[in-house]
Amino acid sequence: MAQQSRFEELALPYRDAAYNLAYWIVRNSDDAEDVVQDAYLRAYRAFNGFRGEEMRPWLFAIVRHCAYRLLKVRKRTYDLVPLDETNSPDVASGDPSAEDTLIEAVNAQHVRAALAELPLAYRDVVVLREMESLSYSEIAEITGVPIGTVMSRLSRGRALLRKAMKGRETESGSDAL
Amino acid sequence: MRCEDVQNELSPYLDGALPIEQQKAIGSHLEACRRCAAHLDDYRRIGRTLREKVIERAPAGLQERIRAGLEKEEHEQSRGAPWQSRRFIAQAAALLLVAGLSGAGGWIAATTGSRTPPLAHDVMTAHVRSLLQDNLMQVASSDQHTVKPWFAGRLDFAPPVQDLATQGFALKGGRLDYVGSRRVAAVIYMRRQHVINVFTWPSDPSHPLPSLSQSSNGYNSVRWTSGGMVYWAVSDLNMKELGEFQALLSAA
Repeated sequence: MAQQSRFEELALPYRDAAYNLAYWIVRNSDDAEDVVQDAYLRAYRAFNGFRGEEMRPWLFAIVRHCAYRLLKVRKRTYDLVPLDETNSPDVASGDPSAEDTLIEAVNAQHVRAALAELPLAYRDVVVLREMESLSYSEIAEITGVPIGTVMSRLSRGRALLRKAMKGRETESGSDAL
Repeated sequence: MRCEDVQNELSPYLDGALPIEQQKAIGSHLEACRRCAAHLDDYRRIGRTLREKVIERAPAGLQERIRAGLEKEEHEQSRGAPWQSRRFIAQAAALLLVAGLSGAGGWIAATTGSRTPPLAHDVMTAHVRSLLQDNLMQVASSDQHTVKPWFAGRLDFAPPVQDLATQGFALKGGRLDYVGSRRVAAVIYMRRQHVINVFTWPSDPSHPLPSLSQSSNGYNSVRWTSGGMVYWAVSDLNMKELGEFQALLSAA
């Protein structure tokens, strides 16, 4: 029982982050939730082998593994699955400048779509760095690739996101970004 | 510095990941070059948007559902034996044998229960899973000089890979798998039509794993430690030949 409360104390604070990581790998909310539940159970079973390392990279490695496994088990190409419409950012939030609000809102949707279309190898590195602010060495630990590879994937991922944003900007004729 | 070179390094620059001289050189270029500075600003703005607007929050109730899952797990375990003990690991293997299930799928379902020690469970399910799906190999080659480098860069250790074809155990390839909480190497060999998965990872000196040989429901497995590595071979091959295989592999 003490074991369980210790695990909960250490691991539960990362549930949002774990969910976000899972979501951006499997790209839909139901699967992401299954992945997180499965990952926490596996992490708990393996908790005996956990000896005071950093919880977050350890847990994220398990989450990522479960998410990849789900993709593999499904043998589905998620590239054709549309974005979850219900998760679109709220356009009508009460910002003082109407113009800024519009550009910001368009931006967020574009960034969201661009991230969803990013190849998986870049997408999870971008999520871990940009959203979770993990260090290169932590990302290397989670993804099981050398730090140099993390660095180059992140470079490429950021460049691809920017390029996609530029492309969308040209389409919509806005100067945002 | 040329703009192109600067722009190629903007991502690590943003993270402060470059050597100090390079950080400085790019910093002074950015002060003078509006185009490159705007490029960096794009990265910053995209990053901020990702963090503030694109990040996903867990749905309501996820915490309770995770807790309920752990509670159930804990409850099932406390009804069973203390599965942490080594003696129990051997007993659990015997129990599995007695379970006498027909199909591999059913075997997996049965072993997800409370009485299986996590490591043995993971190794067995990894083996069965590798046979059920088309993911036995991620690198298919009978050449150890192809399989070995494939693992480099994917793992933080180098699993030994031997071609024992002349002794009747043909190297087939490799795969990454997961045992316990860590990534492990799975090296695949064939004896006639029997697949052998050899799971390998660095041993933990503070938690040494004793040698083990066990049978459960048609699968045999042998575990040993050598040269700082744990080896766990699983197959439906008979125990005698699996023992020969172990001897060959540990002698090589």
